[in-house]
Amino acid sequence: MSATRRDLLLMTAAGAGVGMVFTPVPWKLLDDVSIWTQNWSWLPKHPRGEITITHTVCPLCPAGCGMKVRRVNEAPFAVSSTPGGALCARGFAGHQLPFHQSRLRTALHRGKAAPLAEALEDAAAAVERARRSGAVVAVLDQRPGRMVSVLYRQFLAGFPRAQYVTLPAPEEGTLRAVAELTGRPPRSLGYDFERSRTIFSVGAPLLDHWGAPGRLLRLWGAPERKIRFWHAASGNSRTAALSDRWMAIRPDSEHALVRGLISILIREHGAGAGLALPASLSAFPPEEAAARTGVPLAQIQELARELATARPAVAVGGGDPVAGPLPAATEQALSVLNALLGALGTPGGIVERRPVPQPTLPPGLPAETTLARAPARSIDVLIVDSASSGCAWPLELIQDKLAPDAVTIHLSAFRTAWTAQATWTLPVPAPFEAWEEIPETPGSRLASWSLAKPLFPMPEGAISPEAVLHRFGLPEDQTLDALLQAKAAAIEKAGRGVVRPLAEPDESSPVGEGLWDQLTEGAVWVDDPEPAPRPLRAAIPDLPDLPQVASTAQFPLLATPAGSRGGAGSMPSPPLASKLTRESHLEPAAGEVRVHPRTAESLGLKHRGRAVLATPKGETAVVVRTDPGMADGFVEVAIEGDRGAETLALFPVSRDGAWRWSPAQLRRA
Amino acid sequence: MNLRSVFSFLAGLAGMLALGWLVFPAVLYERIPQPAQFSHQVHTGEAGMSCSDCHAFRDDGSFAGIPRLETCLPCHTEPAGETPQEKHFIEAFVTPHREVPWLVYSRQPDNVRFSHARHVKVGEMACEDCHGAVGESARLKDFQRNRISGYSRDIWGPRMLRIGWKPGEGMKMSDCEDCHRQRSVVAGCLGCHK
Repeated sequence: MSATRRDLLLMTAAGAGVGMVFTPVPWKLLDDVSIWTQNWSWLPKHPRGEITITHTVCPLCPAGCGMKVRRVNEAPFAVSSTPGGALCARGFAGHQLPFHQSRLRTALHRGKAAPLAEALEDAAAAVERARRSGAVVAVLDQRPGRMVSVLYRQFLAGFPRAQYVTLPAPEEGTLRAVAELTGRPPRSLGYDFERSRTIFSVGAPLLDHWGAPGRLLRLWGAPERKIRFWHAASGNSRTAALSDRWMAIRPDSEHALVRGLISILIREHGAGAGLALPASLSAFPPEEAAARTGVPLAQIQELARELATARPAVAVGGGDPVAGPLPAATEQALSVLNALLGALGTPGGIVERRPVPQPTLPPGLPAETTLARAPARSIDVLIVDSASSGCAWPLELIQDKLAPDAVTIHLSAFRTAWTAQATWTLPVPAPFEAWEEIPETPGSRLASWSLAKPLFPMPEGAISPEAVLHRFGLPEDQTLDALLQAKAAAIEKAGRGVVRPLAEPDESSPVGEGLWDQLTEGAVWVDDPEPAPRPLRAAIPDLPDLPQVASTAQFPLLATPAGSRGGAGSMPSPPLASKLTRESHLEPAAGEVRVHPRTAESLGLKHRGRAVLATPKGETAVVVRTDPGMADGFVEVAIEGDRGAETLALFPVSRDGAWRWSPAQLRRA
Repeated sequence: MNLRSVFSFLAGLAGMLALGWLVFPAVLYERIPQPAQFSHQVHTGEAGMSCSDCHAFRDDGSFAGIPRLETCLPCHTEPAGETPQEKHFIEAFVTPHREVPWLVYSRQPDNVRFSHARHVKVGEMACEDCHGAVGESARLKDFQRNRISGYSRDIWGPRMLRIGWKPGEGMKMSDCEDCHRQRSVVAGCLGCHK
């Protein structure tokens, strides 16, 4: 059969097709086209220009880590940590937040765009009505201790009934319990980890997202480290992996473990010899702790022995940025454990933090109360401050405190699950768009103070919280700038502490005149340590037993929320941080749950299979990931991104404001 | 399959190979002459200058990059030689005091930052390790701009398939990664990317 012209053309084309594979054409085109798609003209680009360096602190959470910011034509384009410091993934990418897609450019009325002037007028009218009618007006402050917090309290002093409500840092859960035990004010204590020999964390992610990133990792990674880390938690984590010993306890058995340790310390090691101890403390059978936790008794005894002998030893509870505080009874038990370890007011334990010199404040400012302790349905008008704690909080925690028909005014730079619920949302500057004050890092033993510089101008259409307060009736002569300068003057007058330039932290100098200028140029004031910690005396109370969250036939598993600081709080995550951490599975990805392979198999679930997570409060679709590091019968639920608040709402909030555990069911979708 | 079919196949193959290896590179890159000519050879040879005399580090350690006109002025207010290139340079840029819009062969994309100080001072690398033997060139070659990506050809390098690549022939991310790997220097994504 002879070839037709069509056949010959086909053969030529086939030859050309084969030949093309052996030329640079497809490969180079692929490379160039992919680069072309990254350089479309409408993609925002930094203009080329002079590169400068700015040193400041990160305003994204209360940790206030030092930042070295590279800027081109004044616009920041890269962030790194200052010498000797560390930044979390979100800190590295935080300068992208002002451009986030959820950034608010306008006010919102019940989640819908509204002109700022109109929203401000209506919100001010609602506040004025509350003032006249004697309704309860409250401010929710996620970062108490700032001068703007004082401004909020000055504003509230003008109302007949007012509440200043805080959401304290979860790292300070055990410290708050110790403060109550010893009669000290809240936020007056810190951990002296640098002088500890044994650090025992109960569910506290000390080597993940706890306090200032780097503080504990630096101690952990120190050459010839003498500190030993024990970690008790139900799930595998970086803290579990890095700790010297990880006790994989059963879900919701933290209280039993601490009670067992207290009992063993008293019975076998004579702990608390000089203290008046209720008999019930030693009556708790260690065998029960072993049975409830699923940890062999010998291992609990070994931990108790190490805590008793390798001192200074300190126990730290809670502090999870997503799972929230431990139940109050467990934190109270931990405070007693610390008392028995002699960790109260001793080097290497929990020590008093000297109060920061403050300006003289007018009398009659409302006292601070935590949100968990605010009476239910008591707030008629709630103003929510914009500063984020970096932690996730269930909306239920707030909703329970609101009176029927309450008005909520949210000051926020972003559209979040919280703003969707608010009556009015007023757009305030995003991080890096205004000066932000950073008081001491949660859990730190030394008081400190720094100011985060604005790296961008405040955009049109945004309004500062201070301006909102003035519009709501705060006298114009009460300003944040005056309070900040007065605080700087008070520290100068006290003559305490040192000023550490962020660019060269080793070049610290004693406090003198010009503190304000040093802080605004990029420095941190750090208080002097007490020469010797003052022992903290505590009356040891009887400890109530805490029943474990019961699983049922319908909900046979126990679930806990998990995530990272800033993953699903009142602020979105910077896009680069999300990409790096979630796509790489460095952090749990939104919509995922982790279970032990045995648990998955018993439920007919597969790794990466789709499932439905149900709790008594509702259900949501999830993707299953199996991890042999998880306890059997335990579900770790990722709380991340936009879906985070919705998923966190599946966890019931207890009366003491804890949401760590929920009975749950996992079934194939 | 008869001989005519085999011949047709080979013709298609040969045609495409010629197109891919000869025509495609010529079409892909747009050649743009530099606005002025410059002989590194004369400056580093006869004039006895070193790279850092013009491509200097500032006092704060940052790299000044391509020299500005003020660097040339001390020697070139008046012609130092008799070449038409120097005459053009003086007439077009020195006399009207206009900066030369050099086309930078090694310009990286906007999402990259690069510290010369860290590589040259701390890493003790030579300019040639990345830029090749630019310092020996007698004239500035044409800038070859990729018509699709807009990048300089020097980022990809002269070899279309990059087989047998040598240091100084291209500055793609993979080249940086290879060098970092060889020297066991960890930079991470944000070490180089904005």
